[in-house]
Amino acid sequence: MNAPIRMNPEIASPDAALLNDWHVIAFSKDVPQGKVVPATLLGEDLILWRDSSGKVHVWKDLCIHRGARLSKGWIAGDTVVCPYHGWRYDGSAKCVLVPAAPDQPPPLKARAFPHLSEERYGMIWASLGEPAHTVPTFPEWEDSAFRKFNAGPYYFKANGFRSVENFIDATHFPFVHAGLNGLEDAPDKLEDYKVFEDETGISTSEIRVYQPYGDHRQIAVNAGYVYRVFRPLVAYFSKRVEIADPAKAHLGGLNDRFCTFLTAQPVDEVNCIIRLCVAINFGEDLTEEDILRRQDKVFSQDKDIVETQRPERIPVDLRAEIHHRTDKFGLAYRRWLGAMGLTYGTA
Amino acid sequence: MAVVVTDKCRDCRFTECVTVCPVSCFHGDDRMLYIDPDNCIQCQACVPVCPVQAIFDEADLPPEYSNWVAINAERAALLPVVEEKQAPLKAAS
Repeated sequence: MNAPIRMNPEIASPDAALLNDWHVIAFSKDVPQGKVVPATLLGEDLILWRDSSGKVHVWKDLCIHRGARLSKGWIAGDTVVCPYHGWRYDGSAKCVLVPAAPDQPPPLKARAFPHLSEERYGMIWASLGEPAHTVPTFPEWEDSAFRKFNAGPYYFKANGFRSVENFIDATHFPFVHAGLNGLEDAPDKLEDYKVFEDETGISTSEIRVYQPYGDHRQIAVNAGYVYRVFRPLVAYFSKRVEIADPAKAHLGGLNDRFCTFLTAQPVDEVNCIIRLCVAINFGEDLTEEDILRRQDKVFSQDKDIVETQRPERIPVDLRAEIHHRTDKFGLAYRRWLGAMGLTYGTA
Repeated sequence: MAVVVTDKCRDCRFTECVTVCPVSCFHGDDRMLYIDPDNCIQCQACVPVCPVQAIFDEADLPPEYSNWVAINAERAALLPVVEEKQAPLKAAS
């Protein structure tokens, strides 16, 4: 049995809870047939490729022969070709050709190192271990009343947990997203809200805020956020949007909602890649470009602030930093991470 | 180390503190509140909101109240959490 090989044995070892979980490492559209795509997950270098049947494979970025990177190789006849000696690996991860000895069957030990993968929500999910949970359910995915769009990737030179905590924080809007999601001169006083925990994760009751440009229609709305964190690096909100100006209220509906499903790919302890799937059930005239423009703006503002946070790794000791009553959900998130015994990416 | 409620709270119990506590670590009986030292994160949010200055960080606790560290731990363990503002008691009026 070949043991998994780390390129750099000195890097921190991820906890079992992270290894045995699903993480998004690419959008489906970024892994077309005929291409070898590199990715890094929890410090492990990987490749992704799609075979002619459409199935995606996620392997270590390593050829067992001489340790070269398969990501520098290419696809030929439904195999990955190692760029060093041309060894070819098929979809079962088996070496099917050693070009220097084309008449012999390759050694049985000559295999790539496959990991589990799945495609959901236009995203490719991978696990480096044995997943203890299924891929989280994006509640609006099956609901045809909602149009869905992938947004990102957003490359954060920041810890994945810090980035998720930013996403589930309703009090930074007036400052980080001034003019969009809040008003710097008139920040909302946040009403108290409830936090819940069950086997599917942690969530909040509705949190209401005023947003001058709260959705892609570029109009002011009263928004009601319900947040949920499914897994340490997978979070979500459902935002109810109600047009603030009564004279324009007829332009919207009572059930207008804008939902965001967020995944953070932990490249390592202090770098992550954010990918979104957004779902929207109003504004048929809004184009994908309208939607992505706003998402790109909001997440570039988040990136600018999250990249400044120190320490880079999120403190799970609740006496580190300070938690205000209005931070109840972020605090619950840290407590939940701490209860999982996470050490990788935490302080 | 934690934050400690002293007997200045007794029969007063304004409960402003419970509305600002981020971790719901206040427990109460009919007369006053106590802080669970295991859950308290020492944010000190409750200290400035108490109208009768009954709450101290343990590090700032006047010596005459030092017995209240143990009393808070003992009583909090036995009593229910108080999360919502209560009507103040008679002595507070």
